[in-house]
Amino acid sequence: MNLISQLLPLIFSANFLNTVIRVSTPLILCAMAACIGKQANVQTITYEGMMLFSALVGTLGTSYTNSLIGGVIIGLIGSVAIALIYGYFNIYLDTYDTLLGIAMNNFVNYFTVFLLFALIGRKADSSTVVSYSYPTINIPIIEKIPVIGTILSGHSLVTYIAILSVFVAHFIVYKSTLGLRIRSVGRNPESAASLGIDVRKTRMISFVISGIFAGFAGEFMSMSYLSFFTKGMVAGRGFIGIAASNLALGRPLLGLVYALMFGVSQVIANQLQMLQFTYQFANMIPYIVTIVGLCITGSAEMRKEKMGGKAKEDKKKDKKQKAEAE
Amino acid sequence: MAKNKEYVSTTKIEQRFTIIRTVLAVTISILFCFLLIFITSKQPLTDIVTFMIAPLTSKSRFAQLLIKMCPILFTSLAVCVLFSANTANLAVEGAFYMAAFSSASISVLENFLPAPLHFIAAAIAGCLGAIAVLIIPAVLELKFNANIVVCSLMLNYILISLGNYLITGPMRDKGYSKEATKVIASTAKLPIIWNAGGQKVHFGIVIGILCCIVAWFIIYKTTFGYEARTVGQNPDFARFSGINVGKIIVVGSIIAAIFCGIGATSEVNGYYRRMEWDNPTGYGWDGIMIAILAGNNPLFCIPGAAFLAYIRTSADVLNMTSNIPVEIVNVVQQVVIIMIAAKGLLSKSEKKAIVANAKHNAELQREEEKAAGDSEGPKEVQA
Repeated sequence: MNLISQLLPLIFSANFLNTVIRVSTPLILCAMAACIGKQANVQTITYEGMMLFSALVGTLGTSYTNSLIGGVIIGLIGSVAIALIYGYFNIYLDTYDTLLGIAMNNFVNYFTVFLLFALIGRKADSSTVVSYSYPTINIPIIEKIPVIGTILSGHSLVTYIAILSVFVAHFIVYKSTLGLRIRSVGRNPESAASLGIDVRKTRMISFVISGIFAGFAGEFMSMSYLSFFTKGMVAGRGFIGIAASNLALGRPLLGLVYALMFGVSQVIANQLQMLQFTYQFANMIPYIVTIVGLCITGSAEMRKEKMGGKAKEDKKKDKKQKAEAE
Repeated sequence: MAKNKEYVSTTKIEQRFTIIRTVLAVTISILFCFLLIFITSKQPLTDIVTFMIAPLTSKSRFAQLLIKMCPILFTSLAVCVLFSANTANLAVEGAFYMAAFSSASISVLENFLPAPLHFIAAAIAGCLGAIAVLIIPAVLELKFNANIVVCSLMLNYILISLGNYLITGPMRDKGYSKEATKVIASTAKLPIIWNAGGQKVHFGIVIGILCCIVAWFIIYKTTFGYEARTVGQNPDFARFSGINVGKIIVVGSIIAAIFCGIGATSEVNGYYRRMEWDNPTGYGWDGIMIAILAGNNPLFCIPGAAFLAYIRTSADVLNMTSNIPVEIVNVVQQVVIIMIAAKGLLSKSEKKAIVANAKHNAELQREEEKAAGDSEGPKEVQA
């Protein structure tokens, strides 16, 4: 009880919401990447790998090109490259997606350590390298409004990109020709192909878009959340993003809501740690929430399928009855 | 019909291509490895030679190979069982880690049981720990239709925290400077079968090879194994032919967990003085690579594990003699998995070979019929 009474004032504060938005940034971006993937019906779990790779390449890129934009671009290229390698193997070489996903994730996990060691001679992190971070932005007028200002202003540039990405993803999926193609390829590849849509190409394009979103998410980790790269720093955020998009059934706006929900669980976990709660158990919370979320959507889908089957049967019965009546 | 020696069946061609693909995958990965060495090393040629032959250059290095082979043999068996039923349960990593804890809780008891029984009791505890882990994603998938891949990966993250809690909290020996459990009782230890210059090969390798045979028997010679393979190849067909798919997945997870439990216990009680893993070992991922390399056949896991242990020993040697990090092996390992899993690789030439073979067979058949027709007089010729 003592713990809860200590926790509550922390939760109901403007700072808490500010932290939630900050912590949710990579989750939102990754959820958008996963939403695009889900719409195209590609079961990728490599967002984790894309994020990790762009995190490393991005932060080292800023130091090698000596500019923020150079690093950002290199990071995005890195993440898109991983997405394209995945796409090529999955789509053109017909590789089983789960296996390929795990292998790619592990590949990136070790390859980043290898690169880190080869380039700067350290295995754990890149903190010795001078690199740039994304700037923090204070929104001019909103900044001065008491509570809303604390919540919305003063975030990293990536956070605003993340919020923008939700609308971009929504626009791509629902308002653009490309989105229509992606959705039709996802729903029914055969009929899409019969209408002259190049299924493979459309899926590759969806991988590129996912790669860009995941790239920003990775860059947030190493160029904003921390100012350097550490080994395995993405720590399952890619999977949480997938869970959010699964819960949202691939709808970007809903994806935002679920990503924020996972963000809340992560911040509560962080707050509990500060209150002397055993930190290992606090660390488990986001993952447990994710599993529970997957169970809820999974069973909802199962029920829907059953209901769908029943509805069809009912319709058939209706038709039969009508036919008999006539 | 196809009894004539000149006929070649399609399955045989497929098998031939599987072998070609495996060899190709391993070759490409090793070439990739050479490339990495070439880029990073200051003395590339010496390093490549070291990488190729290091484990065979001394007894202690060869012993090291056998020691490294032991745990990955067990995890690969677990993955074989899971994958042959096409269950993408990736919690083997976490199960192996947890099994080490639950078995260590028995192994550290002094004066508990006489020698072989104490080890067996510890192994049983290990199995229970592993079962508790591996059954979770399977049940969540069956009961709640939750995505088993993401669930099991999340579970691994949870177990990292749990393991960290156990080793720093309740199971820690506070009188010891590092984070580790108490010393494992001598009665629970596995005997050393070969001591080569300080590298002690323990009895675990023998248990591992025996387990391979048992796993092969389970997968290829029992009803369960047959049903599991049917589920793995075509779940719908399995369901329609009356196989209880849920039961197969649950039983498969339990069998896999038992291999994890025995493996973790052998590894800890054979090699270590105390159980001191403060992070998962990565052996679960190694198991996935070996199982894929072996095509889910437990007997092929032995050469598969030997291959991985070989390049890992090489990498360890390289790590000491040059500036190449050990992670190079893990990178190469993933490339092997990707290349073998790429079914589209060579698929065009495979199809061509199958078509050519079918034509060849048809021609043979026609000639035969002709010959038969000539000797027995005129006969109806089938179109």
